[in-house]
Amino acid sequence: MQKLSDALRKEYIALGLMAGSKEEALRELIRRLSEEKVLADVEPFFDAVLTREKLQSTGIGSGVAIPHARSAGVRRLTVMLGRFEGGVDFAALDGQPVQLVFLIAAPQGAAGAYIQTVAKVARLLKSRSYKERLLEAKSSQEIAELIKNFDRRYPRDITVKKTKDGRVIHP
Amino acid sequence: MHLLIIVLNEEKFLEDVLSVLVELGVTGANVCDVRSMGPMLAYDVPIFAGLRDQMEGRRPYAKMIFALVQNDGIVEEIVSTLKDVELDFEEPGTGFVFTVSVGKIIGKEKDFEL
Repeated sequence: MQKLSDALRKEYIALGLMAGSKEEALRELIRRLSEEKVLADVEPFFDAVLTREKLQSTGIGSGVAIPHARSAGVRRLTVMLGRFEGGVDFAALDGQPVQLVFLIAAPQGAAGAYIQTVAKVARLLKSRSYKERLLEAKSSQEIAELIKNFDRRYPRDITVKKTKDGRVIHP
Repeated sequence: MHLLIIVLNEEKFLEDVLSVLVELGVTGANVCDVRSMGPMLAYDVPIFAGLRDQMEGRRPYAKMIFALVQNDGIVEEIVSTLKDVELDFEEPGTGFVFTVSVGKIIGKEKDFEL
């Protein structure tokens, strides 16, 4: 299973952003993805993200949004985190403005890793403690360390022993 | 191959359990409503009506999630990951997570894509 810190590296974290609308916020994050050479083709990915947003907002409430899409124009599974200091109207489920936007971009063929990454980010943001630290962090480096810390905690490495007759023993 | 079974007494955690299963690569689970034995005996079987006092605060319904998994080591992963969202199966009354070995299997879940 891919670690979140493999997909969400320091260079994919942008703090102090401002945007007047959801589209503007997404454009800004997608522009940054393009600058990082994650996107071979920007427009199909932008369209895919907007199409998903039309289905139902990915603003899941409590100031958080996880827009995501797969597209042929994406080179590698990447998570771009934007922190919008003034908040953005994301048509979130609770109607509140969104500060933390985790944009997940996946290549067309990465279906399994993609859905796992969406679930992993959702779990990260379920934790009030992590969310507060993401909001208060002073630098991209601090957030990158936080994500590595999250990866180290769960799931733990599991040691499984097998007997000669094939039974599985857990410590 | 193993059959993973999760009995979840508190429905409010169902979303978390399903999300963690997805994260761990289990995308072919099924969910059903089940009734717990204690409340069923207490309220449906007259001779056990004396159990009703002990049933206060217990939920009559639970969720059962089941899925085929390759490795039963996933039980520990599920339990430890769910602690992160404050669902602790080691707390009495939360539910159970277990696996049983499966013999022959015919049929396959259709993969879904996000």
